[in-house]
Amino acid sequence: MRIGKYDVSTPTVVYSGVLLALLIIAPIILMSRLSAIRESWHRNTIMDAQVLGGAYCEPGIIACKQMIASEPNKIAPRLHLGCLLAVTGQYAEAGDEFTRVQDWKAATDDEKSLAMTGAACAKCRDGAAGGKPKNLPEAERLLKKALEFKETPDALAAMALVKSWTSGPGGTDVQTYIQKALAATPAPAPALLQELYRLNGVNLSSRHKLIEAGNAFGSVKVLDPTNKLVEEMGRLTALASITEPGISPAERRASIQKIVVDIEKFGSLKIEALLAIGHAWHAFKNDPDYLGPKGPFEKACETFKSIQEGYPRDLRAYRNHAGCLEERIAILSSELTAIVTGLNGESPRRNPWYVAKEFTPALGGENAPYSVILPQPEQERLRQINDLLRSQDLIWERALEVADATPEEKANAQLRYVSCLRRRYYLSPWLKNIKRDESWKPIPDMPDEITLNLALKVSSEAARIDTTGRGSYLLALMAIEKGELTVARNALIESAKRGFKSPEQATLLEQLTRPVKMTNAGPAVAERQFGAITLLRAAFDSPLGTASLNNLKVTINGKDVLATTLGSQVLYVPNDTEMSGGGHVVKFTAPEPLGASLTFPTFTYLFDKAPPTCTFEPNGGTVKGDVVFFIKIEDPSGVDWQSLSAGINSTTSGTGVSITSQLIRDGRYAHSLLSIKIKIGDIVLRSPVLLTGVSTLPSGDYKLWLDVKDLAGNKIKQEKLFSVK
Amino acid sequence: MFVLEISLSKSCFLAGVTDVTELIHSLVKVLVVCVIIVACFWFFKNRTRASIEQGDKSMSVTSFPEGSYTVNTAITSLSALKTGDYVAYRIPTDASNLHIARVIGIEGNRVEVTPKEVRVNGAPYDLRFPTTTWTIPETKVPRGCAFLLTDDPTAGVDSKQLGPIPFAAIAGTIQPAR
Repeated sequence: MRIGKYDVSTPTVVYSGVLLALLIIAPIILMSRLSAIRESWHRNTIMDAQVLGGAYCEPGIIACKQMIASEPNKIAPRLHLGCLLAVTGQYAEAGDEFTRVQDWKAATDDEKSLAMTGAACAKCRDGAAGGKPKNLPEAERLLKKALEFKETPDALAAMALVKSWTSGPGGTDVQTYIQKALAATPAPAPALLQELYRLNGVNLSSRHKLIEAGNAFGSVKVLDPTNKLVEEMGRLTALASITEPGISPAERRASIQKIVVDIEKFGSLKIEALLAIGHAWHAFKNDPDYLGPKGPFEKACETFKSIQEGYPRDLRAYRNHAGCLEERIAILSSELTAIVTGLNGESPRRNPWYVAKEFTPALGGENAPYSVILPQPEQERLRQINDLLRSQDLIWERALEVADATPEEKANAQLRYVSCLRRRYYLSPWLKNIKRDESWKPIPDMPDEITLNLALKVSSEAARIDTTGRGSYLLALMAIEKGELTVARNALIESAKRGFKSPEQATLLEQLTRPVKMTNAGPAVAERQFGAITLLRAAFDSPLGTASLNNLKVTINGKDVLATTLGSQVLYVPNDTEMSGGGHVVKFTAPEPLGASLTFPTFTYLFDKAPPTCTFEPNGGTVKGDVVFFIKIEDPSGVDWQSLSAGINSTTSGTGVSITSQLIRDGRYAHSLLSIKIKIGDIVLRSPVLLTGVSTLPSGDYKLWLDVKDLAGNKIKQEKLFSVK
Repeated sequence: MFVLEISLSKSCFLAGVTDVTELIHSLVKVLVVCVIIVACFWFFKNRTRASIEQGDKSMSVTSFPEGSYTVNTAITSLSALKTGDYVAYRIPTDASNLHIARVIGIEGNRVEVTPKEVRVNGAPYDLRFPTTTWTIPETKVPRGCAFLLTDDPTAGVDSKQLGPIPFAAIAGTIQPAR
């Protein structure tokens, strides 16, 4: 083929065509890919700056500027530049760079929104100190603008963060923005998303949504595994969340398991973590397997026990462990059909003082409840209650030995210890039939006396340091059990003084502080004139029992006498000095419950040493044969008519006169005296006593005689001579 | 390429090639060689290698036995990735080596790992990790990042230690041996 003066072959033409085409196409392709090539050229530099930061930032900034210079219409380099300037602390420049984007027509709404968000962030960071942002109103304005362009996740997240500084992290508007930001697609940038989750955690915590808060903090940790601060917050929230009500058992178990695995990571908070685990296991109390072998109850107890061993000085583990057992005791007690008084905190009734004075004898007599044969499940419950109470005993005993506690805490521990001992004391009679070995011999347990003494000792200590008055009240109850009513009364008064109030206390206080009453005194009014032998006596009713009557005083005519106290009675037999005739004044003085003395009304008694006086009418001399003697017998203490004997005897012999020696015997007429209408057997009741002969007395000399005693035992024998003519 | 062409042409002239046909032939040959070189460059530009060292248990031995694997670096955006893909990535402390892990979620995905299952956007995904000692609460993957996990949580360095991995650190996708 000939082209011009050149003779060329066909292949040459083809090759030339190909070459020409390549020379034309290659520059076109190159020119069209120039932007991508440039971007590719700078891409790694910018990405390294964004991802690695530090020394990579400066080359990144230069690359961005070069890209902007060559392609001013592209927005991405401007956004990258703004970010890198902000990373290097050039907030004002970064803000300017971001703000410029809104004026570029080529920018999309997404880009404008991101740019305004960047500008707002730069504003907040500019001049910020101590972790507190600055220029919040300006930042909020910029973010509003960003949201007007488009509600991007970044803009929403940034707005939530800014709002959290103005209206608090728990604010409703904050919550709204958080929800929107988390729901928006795709997601904020890593650092912003981290902050958003952290804020969400705080927001949820403030609304007591601890599980969700824990998850939010967990998400922060997921986004930045090196964040130790949030890790701590997350742990604390996780701790709080495992005891949160309403959580499903499976979730709770999983959370507990997770904390158990990470327990060593809690460091100084390990004890808090263990306590939370204990509480969390305890929260399974409504589960059917709660009490099963290796069940939550056992695990809770084991956890609390492990704290007691690891941190013996911290009282909380003891308290929680005991609380766990206490709840179980309460459940078992409520299931009991046998009425074990005092077990559920009601008034103690075991002491006879209560039984006799105030309450129904609940124990049912001498043999009950020992003789009661309880059904097997009931026995098992009682045994379990006792075992739980014993465990509680040990916990409190140990707690009081080793724990560092404030006086209030110590008093509280002592009170719980006493409460436990007290219930063991009440339960003890019921266990006598249950706690037996195969040969039906009682299994030895702590004797009641020791339990009671221990309870009294601990409650005394508690009463001393407890300021609420509850300690004194418990001391009073234990003292009542022990029969030390004076101690009980004083303790009750003290508890009232310290402000403790309960209906039971008021009743007891009223009973123990009421005054001593004299129920009767002797001799009776009619017997207060007496003679040789007598007994002065008085019976008292004291709220503090007979023990308080030791200080009872008896005075006669103002002088103290040594009286004998026997039970609720005081007895005294007057001596010779005090038995002189005439009136004597007796006074009883009893100790009053509040310490003062109480004097009872005095009475006077007359001591009679004189025999009855007898006057005769006619008084001897010469009388007629049908004479009737009127004999007046008088005595201040009364005549013992049954002792009266009288008669008429002839003193001259050989007169043929009928001699009757005794007309009255032991207060009865021994003969009929017709002239004065007296029949044999008539009783002599009063003075004057009539006496005459059985028939008309013949002339002669006679003797009228009379024997009589007064009611005081004074005896008199009188004779009167007379002549009949 | 142009520089190479010109230099080759120059070398032809210097070599005393005066015939136009011969010159054109030479230039065409040079251009074809250049095109082949460029094509090879573009081909290998999108390919790199990642290796599983002996004793490395970070990935399932069944899927990734010891050896070297080709990494497809042609991915240009995160949207090209999906949950379950294997990717090679660099970590800041060891920029010279590529590590292999599985994509759990990309930007905007909500990922959650429990002892029972892996959930992405609330839906269970057919993946399971021995998570007796760790779990991931439902977390949104930030913009520009992917959440990567190795098969063995006790080996390898992945999002558990680093958090979400930026797209810039992801070299490309990788195909398992089986």
